[in-house]
Amino acid sequence: MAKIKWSTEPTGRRVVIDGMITAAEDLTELASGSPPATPLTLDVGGIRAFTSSGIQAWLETLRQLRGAGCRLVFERLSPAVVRQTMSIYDFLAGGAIRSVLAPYLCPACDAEVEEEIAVVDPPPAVAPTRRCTCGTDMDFDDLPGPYACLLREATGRPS
Amino acid sequence: MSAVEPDDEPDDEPARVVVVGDPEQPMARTPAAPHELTYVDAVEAGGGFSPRDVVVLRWDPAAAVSETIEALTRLPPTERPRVVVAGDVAEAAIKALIDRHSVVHVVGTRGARAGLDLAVTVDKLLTNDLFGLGRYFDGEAGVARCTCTEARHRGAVFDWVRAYAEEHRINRRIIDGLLVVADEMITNALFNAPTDASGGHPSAALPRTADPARGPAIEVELRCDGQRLGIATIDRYGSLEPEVVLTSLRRCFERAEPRQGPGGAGLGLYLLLGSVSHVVFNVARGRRTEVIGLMDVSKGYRQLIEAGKSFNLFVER
Repeated sequence: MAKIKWSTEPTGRRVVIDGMITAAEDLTELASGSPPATPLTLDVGGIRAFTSSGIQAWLETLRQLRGAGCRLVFERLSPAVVRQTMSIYDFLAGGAIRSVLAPYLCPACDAEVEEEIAVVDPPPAVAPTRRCTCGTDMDFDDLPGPYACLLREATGRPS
Repeated sequence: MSAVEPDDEPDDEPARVVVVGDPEQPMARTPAAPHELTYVDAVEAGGGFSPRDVVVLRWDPAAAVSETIEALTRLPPTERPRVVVAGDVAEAAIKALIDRHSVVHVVGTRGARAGLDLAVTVDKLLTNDLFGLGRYFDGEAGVARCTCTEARHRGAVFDWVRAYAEEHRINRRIIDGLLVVADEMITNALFNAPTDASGGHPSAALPRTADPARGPAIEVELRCDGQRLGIATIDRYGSLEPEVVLTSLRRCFERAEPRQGPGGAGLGLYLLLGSVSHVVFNVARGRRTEVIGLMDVSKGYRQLIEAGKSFNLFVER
């Protein structure tokens, strides 16, 4: 089940989504809590996974928001969101992307870290390693291709 | 070669296993094929095969593997062997193997138990003994089993799956994938597997939050030996149509677009295959369907998804 937390910013509404998206019920609050025709920033760094019903609900919710005139801005795309964005057509409903989270795994102590990478022009490269607190080099723990492609594509989207 | 029809009835003639490729890299022998395997550089159409024979083609993108499959496809049904493609096949090539040649057995060679998987595949084809997760593990593997009869109990099953994975110290992102796999397998068994008297699927169009009519329990099994984790579900309907699996597999290698409407999104297999190293479908028509997902858990998530994809579709004869 997903958790949703709202806040208000000078530029509009902001929502933080955490957990696993499994059904429409997970996103009811997102659809109902967004005033029409306003900017909406979605922090999706805590989304762990999507089931197929969750993907269906996600796409439907974003279509509703876009249909209501909300301008969607995504930040901190989790690895699960990156993966579906690169696999499923129009997964972010044309929304802008501010940043993604790159996952790293330490081969020595199994520590896991996610590093935020801002979308800037020119697109930044994803570092293959980063230093762990135990002193070992952590490895980038995903396929680099989709991240490089997404960062390139995201640079071209209006934010 | 027929991808979707069960094999002919066995006769007294022993089946042959022909391995196309380098004999310097021998394939593991299997309990069902203890005799010498036949190694050849290439197979020729009219090579005297029977539908019970098995041809293992070692995948080499530079070699004319698809021409070999093409030649076998052109054989009359009474002379067509079963084909297993062994190797790390790129996703685009897998799609072509399914689309053009209806290949239903692709076994990668980089996973934690790749040699075993190929031997098990050949074994199952030779013996027609298809079911069971245990054969995909060759050492001590902790086994856990439970059942699920109602959709509203799925949450408890997922908690059980998570607890098992955490107990085996599985990487957190792999656990996320495992939960997606469990959800897709159990939801499919609860909603898509049940059939009515006319062979229809009365629960398939229900929203996945509904409670379909209660039927025989779905059996769920987990195994983990520290290198590999396996999950299996068995339903007692045996209604999974091989063509449905093939259609879904094709979609797995394209940019997916979910179906609209109250039923499933049609993404189950796409998500399942995306999260495991190896997916196996065992179908005994009208009696039971077993779906097995195998995940390489020896290292991190990247290792799991870089290992290449394997899949098998077995229909009991």
